[in-house]
Amino acid sequence: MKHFMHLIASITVLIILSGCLPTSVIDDVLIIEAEGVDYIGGNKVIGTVTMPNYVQSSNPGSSGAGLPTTASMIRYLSGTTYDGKSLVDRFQENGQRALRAGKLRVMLFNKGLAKHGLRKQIDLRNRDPEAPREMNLAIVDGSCKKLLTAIDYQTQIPIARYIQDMIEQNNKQNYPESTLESFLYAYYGDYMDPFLPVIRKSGDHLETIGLALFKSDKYVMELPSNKVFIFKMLFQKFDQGVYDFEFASQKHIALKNVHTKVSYKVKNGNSTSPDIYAHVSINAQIIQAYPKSINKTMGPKIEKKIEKHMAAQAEKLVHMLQKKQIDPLQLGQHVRSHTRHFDGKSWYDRYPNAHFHCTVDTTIIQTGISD
Amino acid sequence: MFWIKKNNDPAQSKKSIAKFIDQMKTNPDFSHFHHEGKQFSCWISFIVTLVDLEYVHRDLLPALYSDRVHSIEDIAKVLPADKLIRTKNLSEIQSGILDGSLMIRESAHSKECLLIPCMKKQSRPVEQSETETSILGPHESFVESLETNINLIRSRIPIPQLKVEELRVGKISRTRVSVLYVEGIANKENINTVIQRISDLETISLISSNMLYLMISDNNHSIFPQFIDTERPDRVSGALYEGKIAVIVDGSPNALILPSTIVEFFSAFDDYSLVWMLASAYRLLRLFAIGFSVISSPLYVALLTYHYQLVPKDLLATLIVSRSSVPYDPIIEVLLLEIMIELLREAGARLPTKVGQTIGIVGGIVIGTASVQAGITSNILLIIIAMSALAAFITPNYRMATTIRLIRFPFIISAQLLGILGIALCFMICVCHLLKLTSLGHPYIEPIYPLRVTDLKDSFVRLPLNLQTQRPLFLRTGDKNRANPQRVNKKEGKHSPDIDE
Amino acid sequence: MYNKINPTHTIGPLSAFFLPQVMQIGIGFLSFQQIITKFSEQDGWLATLISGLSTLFVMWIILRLLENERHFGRPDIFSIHRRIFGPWIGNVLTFILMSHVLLFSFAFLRSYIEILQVWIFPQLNSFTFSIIFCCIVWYIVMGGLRTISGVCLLSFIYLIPLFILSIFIVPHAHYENLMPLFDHTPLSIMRSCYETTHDYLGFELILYFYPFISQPEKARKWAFRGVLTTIYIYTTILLLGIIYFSQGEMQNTIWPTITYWKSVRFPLFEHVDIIAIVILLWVLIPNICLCSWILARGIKFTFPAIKMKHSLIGILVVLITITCMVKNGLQVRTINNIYNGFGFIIIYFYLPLLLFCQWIKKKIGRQSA
Repeated sequence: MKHFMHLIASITVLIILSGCLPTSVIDDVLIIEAEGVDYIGGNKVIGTVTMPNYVQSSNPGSSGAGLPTTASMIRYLSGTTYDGKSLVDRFQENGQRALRAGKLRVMLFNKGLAKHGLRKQIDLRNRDPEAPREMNLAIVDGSCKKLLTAIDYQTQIPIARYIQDMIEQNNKQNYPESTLESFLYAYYGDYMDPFLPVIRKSGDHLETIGLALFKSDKYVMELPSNKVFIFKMLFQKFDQGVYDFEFASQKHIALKNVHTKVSYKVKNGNSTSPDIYAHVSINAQIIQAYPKSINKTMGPKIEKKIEKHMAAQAEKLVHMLQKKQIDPLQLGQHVRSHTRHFDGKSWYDRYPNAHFHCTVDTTIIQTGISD
Repeated sequence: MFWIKKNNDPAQSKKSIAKFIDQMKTNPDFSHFHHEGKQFSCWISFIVTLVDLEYVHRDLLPALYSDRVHSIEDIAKVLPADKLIRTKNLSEIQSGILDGSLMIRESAHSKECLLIPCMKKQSRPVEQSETETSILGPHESFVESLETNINLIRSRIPIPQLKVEELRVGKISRTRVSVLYVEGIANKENINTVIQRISDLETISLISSNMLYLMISDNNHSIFPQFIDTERPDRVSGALYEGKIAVIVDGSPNALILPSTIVEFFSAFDDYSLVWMLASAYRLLRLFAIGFSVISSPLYVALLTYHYQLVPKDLLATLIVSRSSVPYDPIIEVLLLEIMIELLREAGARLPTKVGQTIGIVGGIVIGTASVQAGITSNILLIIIAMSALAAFITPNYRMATTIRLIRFPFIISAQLLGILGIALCFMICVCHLLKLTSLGHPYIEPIYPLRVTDLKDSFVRLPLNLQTQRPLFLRTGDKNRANPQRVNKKEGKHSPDIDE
Repeated sequence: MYNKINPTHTIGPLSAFFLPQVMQIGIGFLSFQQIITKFSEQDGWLATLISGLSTLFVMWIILRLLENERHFGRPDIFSIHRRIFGPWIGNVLTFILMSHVLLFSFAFLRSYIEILQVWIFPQLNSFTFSIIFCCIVWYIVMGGLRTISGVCLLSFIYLIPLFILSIFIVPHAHYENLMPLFDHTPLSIMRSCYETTHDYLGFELILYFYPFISQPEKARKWAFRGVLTTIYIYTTILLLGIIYFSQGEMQNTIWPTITYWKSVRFPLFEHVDIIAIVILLWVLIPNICLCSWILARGIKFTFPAIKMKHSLIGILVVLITITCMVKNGLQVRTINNIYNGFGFIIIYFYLPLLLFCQWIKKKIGRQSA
């Protein structure tokens, strides 16, 4: 009995001692949802953070409660700082309450910063145990600050949610998956380069306009929206994209792919000009076609046309990437995995000379309910 | 613990019958008179309130007064009664009279006497079980009379191997305690332990089986009940068939089942009247309910105080909005509501049934909504607390339900101190305590540790009865098998016709 | 002095499965991918496999050692040392081995506190945490080996969801990371093997509690199964790590396992890493419990006057003190390196040597007789 009392007493004392951990009560902190960084030259940036403010819409029952006691009063903070500075620390002194980055949804960089290099920003995020890995990154054509703080959107729903939802649903369709996770994979990995979607504010809404391709951490070029399908097709398997094919001038056919799969083969991986063979198979459905352009007999003919066209597009794309010396398709990684004792050091010299061969195998499995 | 002290037992100080009678005479319900007959005269004494007066007047006294009786020996031949005792032993006489016997002596000074048992037991009839209700199973429940209770069990176990051992507990009360077991199945060591523990008790009085439970449990500092107490005779007889031991105390309407493991507290007897899939599903549901009940409000405190990262993005908005008018920290909010629910429960239990129900409804609805509208608790919390209160009462055993309701308070406090880590530490202490706990010397969390796969068949899930051919291993029963597994399963496999055959 | 062990204190043969197994699964598996793949990149899994199979062999040596000893007395390392080397040298050797056990528990506790501080509570005071923790350890060890083995079993059960959790990263897998197979020199793979030792250590503690296992014939089989399970777990986790991270990213990540838990997302909660780290408390507790039990037992063996009850408190105080003396992550890593080297020597050199000595002793004994 005495033992018990002693034990209980000592544990109580200890627990009280340990009870000085700093809390972050859910409604007493400002939860940052989006960060935007604009480069203004000279290693200086304008940082912007937004946090949602959940002001309770008048609760029918709580007439006696008066104004919500804990609602936050600010929606965003913005200011200049140096590149690579943690924005949480930078704006803490302006914040109404403690800022927390644990629920960050999106991080935006403007093109200027992307050209300058994202090295410091990425290191910051990779070091932070709180930052979720499924957070989305994006490049903004224009100013991040304007995009995040504009008040002329159609609704007043926090903009971070809009951006994230937009990127996420694009990732399911034509755009290749781009989260912090995949960016870090390509950024730190050897023989590959990362990419990010490019977004832009257009009037009272946002739009995704293409894919920004990087050389390590530096922005190199932008892939326009209509080439992204080809890119994704060579990058990963997916099942929801839409490809618009102009088979003759002013005559379009749109394919909604039910399934694409890509496989790579490599020959002579250690020679000066390795041969890379990509084979793509597409199971597609036609959702839109120029009137009378397709029927049961013409199916195989169209298939052939599409195959030829896509293979040519793919080879053109890779050729362009080779010219720019960037490898967002992770071809180097494929060559490495197919080559024994892969010579990694000379790879960057050999990459532009590599021969890329692409074959596409399209099957139209459905043309809709009318002929 | 005052009853353990050896104080002077008043019963021992009186030395003779005369003194005992003198002492009793002061009571108005003690009847002591001299009968003068033609052939035979004697002194008759009994306690009016204890004996069956009708029986005495209709059968006993006419027999005594009849002419055939010449001496005290003749009474035995004449009387239509069994179990007559002739004795000189004072303590036997004393307990006989106090149990409701009629004493007959030849003269006021003779030491020898005849005791005729004619006790009248006030007892209510067998009624529906109240704390452990069942929908499909039998509805009988124990009553306060030991005889009736044993009758209920014996009628379910009609074999000579069912042993009933009677012990007397309490220096003064001398309460009758019966230990029941099936000889040949129940482990001998267990029986000896139980009998030894009960007969070693140093106590003055024993009012109910709950007191006995508290005194013979392995660790009486533990908040976990170590033996099942049940008011259902079917459950007791089921346990006896398994090789367990039942203890019934005169005057209390429930039996203790020893030894028990923790999983048994979460199995209702109804489980055995359902198909095994349904029974297993409901057992799992109960398990989930217990986990939910213990962990939900501490988790609320931990998440809202420290780990906002864990809350999904879309839920975050809901939570913040519902808390936006609450001025307190989550811990205060939770404690407030938890204590309110505890109060409601306690008030409901103490008040008469009908008022209690009203209190439950009024309290639950009115206070709950009012506190949300007044802005001292958030409505999400109200849902969580109400659900966890509901979940706690899913436990079929009342004792366990109380434990579960109480155990969340240390969890809430440690969640406030160290967040999820605190909950984990508290859980760990709890589990380690369970690991060390024993019931009659057997490990308390038995099918889990020590790991016995055969016993798992009737723990968290209840597998079909044809797989349950073995008695629980931890009981070390005299006969391991309930039924011959080959023969049980042969019946099914005997004839398996092809499609449309 | 060597009174028989009361059968009520023995543990079943199944504990030979999960006791060594739980001892092996330590904090190491959170970070071992980085260290192993440093030298052998995508072929790192080969190293865990080789190293694991070699522990299987060491397990055989240990069991052989103990079974031989059964003819002479109680089959544990204390009696072996005393019988072969005499009381003085024997006790010194026992203490050297026990210092490794102390190092084990200490390195473990400190690494865990480091993880807590990095991932959940940067402000957590290591002193208070270790005191609360050691109170629980005290409470468990007071219950004897039976309770400890119960904790081990529960730890095994609670860890299953954590390993299942790792499967959620399969959709993010890049299988080409595994190719080409066997593309590294044996030397680099051996270096990885050496680094893997750290994670496999712990099974040798069976040397101390073997006499408590009832039905040792059955137990032996379970002991090997336990080691095989560990090999399986480690190899899978490493494989998952390799296909999830690119090599460059892996070298940049200190705790790859936690990082990939971080990307698991459930509808009910996010940031699974925090929950996983908290569940890891269950990995820690059996380790520290068994270690302090072993230490207390060793002290009692050498100085029979000291009761285990009393020495246990001393051991925990020492543990808390040295835990608080370590200040930063760098020191933690140094300690882990010392522990690794020390353990490597013990299991691959000292134990075979001991078996040899035992054999010699037997030969001499037979000749003299």
